[in-house]
Amino acid sequence: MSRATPNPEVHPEAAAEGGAALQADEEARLRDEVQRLTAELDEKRHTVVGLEAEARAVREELARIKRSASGRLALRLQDGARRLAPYGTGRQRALHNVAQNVAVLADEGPRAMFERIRRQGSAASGDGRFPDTPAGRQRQYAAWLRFREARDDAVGELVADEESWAYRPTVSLVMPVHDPAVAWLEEAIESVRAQIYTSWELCIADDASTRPDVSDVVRRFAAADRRIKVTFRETCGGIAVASNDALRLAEGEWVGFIDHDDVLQPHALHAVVRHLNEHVDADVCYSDEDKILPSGERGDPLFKPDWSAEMLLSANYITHFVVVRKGLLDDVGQLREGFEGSQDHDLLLRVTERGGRIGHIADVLYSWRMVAGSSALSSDFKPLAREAGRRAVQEALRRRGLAGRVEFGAHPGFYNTRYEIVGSPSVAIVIPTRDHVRLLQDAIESIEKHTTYANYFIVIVDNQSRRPETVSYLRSTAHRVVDVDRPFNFSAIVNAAAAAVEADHLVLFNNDVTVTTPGWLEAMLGYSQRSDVGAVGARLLFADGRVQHEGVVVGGLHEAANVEISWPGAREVSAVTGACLMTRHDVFRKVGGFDEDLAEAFNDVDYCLRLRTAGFRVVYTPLAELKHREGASRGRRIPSRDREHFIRRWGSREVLSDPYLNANVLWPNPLRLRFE
Amino acid sequence: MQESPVQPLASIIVLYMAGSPWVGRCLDSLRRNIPQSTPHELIIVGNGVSEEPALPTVGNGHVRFLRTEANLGFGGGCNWAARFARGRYVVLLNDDTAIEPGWLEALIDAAETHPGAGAVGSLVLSPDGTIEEAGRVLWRDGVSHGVGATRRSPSTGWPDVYEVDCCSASSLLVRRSDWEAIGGFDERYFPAYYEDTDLCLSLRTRGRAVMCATASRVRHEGSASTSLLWRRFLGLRNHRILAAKWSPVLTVFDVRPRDEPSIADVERTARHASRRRQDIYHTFGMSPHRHVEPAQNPGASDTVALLQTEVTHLKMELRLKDEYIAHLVATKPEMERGLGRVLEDERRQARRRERIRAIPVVGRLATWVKRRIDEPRHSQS
Repeated sequence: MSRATPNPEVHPEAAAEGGAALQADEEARLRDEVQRLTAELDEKRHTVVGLEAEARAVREELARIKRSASGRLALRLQDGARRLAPYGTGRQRALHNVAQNVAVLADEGPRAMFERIRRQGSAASGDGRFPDTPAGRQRQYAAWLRFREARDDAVGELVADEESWAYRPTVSLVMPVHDPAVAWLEEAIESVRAQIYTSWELCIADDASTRPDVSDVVRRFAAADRRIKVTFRETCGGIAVASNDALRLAEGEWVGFIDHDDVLQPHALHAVVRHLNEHVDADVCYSDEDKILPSGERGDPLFKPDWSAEMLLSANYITHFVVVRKGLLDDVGQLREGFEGSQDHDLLLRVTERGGRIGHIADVLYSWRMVAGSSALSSDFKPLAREAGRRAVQEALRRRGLAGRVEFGAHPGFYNTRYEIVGSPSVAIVIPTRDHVRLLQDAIESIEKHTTYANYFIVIVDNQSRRPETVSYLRSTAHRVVDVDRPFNFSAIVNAAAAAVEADHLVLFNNDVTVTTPGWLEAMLGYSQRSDVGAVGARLLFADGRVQHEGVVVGGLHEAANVEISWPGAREVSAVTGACLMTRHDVFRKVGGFDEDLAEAFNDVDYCLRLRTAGFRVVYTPLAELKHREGASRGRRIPSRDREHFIRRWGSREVLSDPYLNANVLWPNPLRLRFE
Repeated sequence: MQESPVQPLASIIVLYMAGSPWVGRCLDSLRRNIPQSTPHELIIVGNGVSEEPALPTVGNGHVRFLRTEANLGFGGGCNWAARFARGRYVVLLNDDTAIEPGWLEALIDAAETHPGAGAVGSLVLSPDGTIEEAGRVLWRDGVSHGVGATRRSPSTGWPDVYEVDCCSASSLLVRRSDWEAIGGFDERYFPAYYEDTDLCLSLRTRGRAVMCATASRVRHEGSASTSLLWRRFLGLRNHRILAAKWSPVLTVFDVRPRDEPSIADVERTARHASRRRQDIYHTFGMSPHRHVEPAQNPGASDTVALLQTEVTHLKMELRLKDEYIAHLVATKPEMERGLGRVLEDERRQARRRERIRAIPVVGRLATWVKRRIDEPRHSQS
């Protein structure tokens, strides 16, 4: 539409004669305004072009330095090595090693090189091949830290990254101080001041420290950096009260917590704010952490899973570093007195139940100093703190409207919840079998002996048993027998059994499993009765007491495999084994049961993954403990047909990622970190 | 230009900016690939184009050229153009695309056979021939990902027309009754990005479905030519607008499983798009959000109305540029500080290297290594 020669068809409402003059005036006025604004805009455009050019120049400079720095050395050496010794040969590995040593020599000096050679002599060379001993794990972690530092080398790159962020909130760091060693306090404060992300404030509450130099240090820092705010308490009020005093100073949109002798890694806030930019709906986010060993080294990392509500009920797995939206904190009412020692657990339970997103940054942002007397070193949590923690979890259940009893767990700081069973739902224990009548009898006897829950019945699913003793047992047994007369297909057997029985819950139970804990069925039912839980798994042990199953991990080293996770509490998992799996009958029907294209393997994992896709949670509970002679009834072989089918649907192990396995961990036990 | 005698079924809107290198090809593909038998009209908008353009003559249907002096943004430009649309369907098409035969017919066919659909999107191919999107999946954080992205052809076993969370507006049919009910695009997303997601959410809060018809195909020919810094700034800013506006509704959507979801993640989630629409409708139904202001001064002529819209948008652009300048200024010192640190590191390493070279044998070895490394090499690998 050209304004100079107005389009004839663009005046639908022909104005009245008198209106025409007014209209013309209005038009002229608007045209002037458009011209004025356009001119103004043109001027702004010049400013923008100038600023953009400056920003681009800084970025290019950073990129150039990055290219020309030590990276070039390594690249060139690699290039030469590739020609002399192709990938995958022993020569290549040896050469790679030599090149690395030369690079270390040139960049860090002979001492560093000898140190490196010595290290390699003791550890089997190659990433990830570290013995599963405390020293081996420490070496692996040290190697991983070096690997990460080399990768995240350039501070400038992080800053250039920040430039694109639209959201740059102030993060208030809350630090209650009570009689720390002054050197450590200084280190803690310096670690905050060294943050790459600069929009923070540090709120310190000195809880009536008795060491005189503590307040001097705090005052000195507050005078030197206006982002540091301080308040002094007259009397010692304890950690909750002091933290709340510090919180009152906080003016940022987000609040992070740091202890007076711990260390924040330099990129901690950068990583947090990047996360907040990428996940605008986050309310809370937490990171991985490690410890500062008495030797001064960093070690003993805790690589946490993504958000797991059940896990937080079983222990405070989040601890540090955690950042919470200030508004949310104001809503739930800060830290509570009376929960000393577990006040952080209580707060986390309260802030995470508000429905917001709880993000996890899979990166070690926080180092917790091991000090004699602090709970980082002594795992014997004080009895008072244990009871406070139990109370915090019990109150969390009450707030959430869940009926249950919280007990102390197997280790200090861990809690088990025994949920009350609502009503008396019926449970069908489905045991598929083919011959092996001894195993079957053992399984049934153990169920009958140990089960304390009343409303259950056993269904034996017979798949072409031939041996006379089995046939006669099946004829004489009082339990219901369902016949599935077709070649072995575990999924088809399970589906047939599920179709034949009427019950509220199903328990898939292998014939080579025996019950050892009395409350097992109630423990599983406690979760299975929840509407958002799709499947519940149990803890399975080998006959010799070694752990066989504490949940299934998908991806990493294997497409899917049982793991021993050494977490003595309930938690969400990606999948659980079908050797003992409880699921609601209606859920089973809703998602279409087991997939009969997976005849032997992966059918349980596939079922759980489909449940999770449909929005259900899969929960593992250690309170149901059973013995499993895996492979006693069928071999261990995984048919390649099943594997291929599984991979077609869910992807291979490189693609699969398990939210309950940390992204930095290739395999949890024995721990193998990712060097990639 | 004559009023076409037949009532058009579809009004195709193509927006372009001054100097667009693509619009000619786009119009050409429209001329070649839309049969006379489908009654349609074409509304071409020069958005912020001060000179009369030299466009190829376009055949096969009624054509109307519109031109605005100020940049109305994508949403504003489409809203302006839609005022003149007479078809039962408004079809938005980006100027940096080329349509394939059957494009319009498949869109109309899907809309006619699915009366519950408020909008139907096309399958969009990227310049390299892979799929860019066949509908999109929206995550709880307001980010969306294309269904079937990077595949060579759509996943087998999917129907030709299926429901999705949203579609990009690069090729999107919107039923005109629905368009008018929601008031077109929300112009707060000026100049661009996320307004299409917003439109789809508006439709779905009214219980209307957004579908993808894979038989309707367009090929993306180019990409934005504006500065990367500016685009990133806009993307982040508009993402926040979307997240703030739709925060309760977004909780219906799945949590993004990872930063870059896999093809399988996206497709798995896409299958439940209709369930999410029902959830939205039943939980939040008939959202009152209608942020477009009603046409100012309804009695005014189109000329005055356009001038008023232009003034509004120029003011918006001025405000936005101020915001952007503030953003650039705010990030500058930190970037420079980062550069300072890197330079300091460099100097430290250089000093260390010097010290090592001072050691007799080691120094010679290191120098030799360095020379080997710095030598230009003509390797074949």
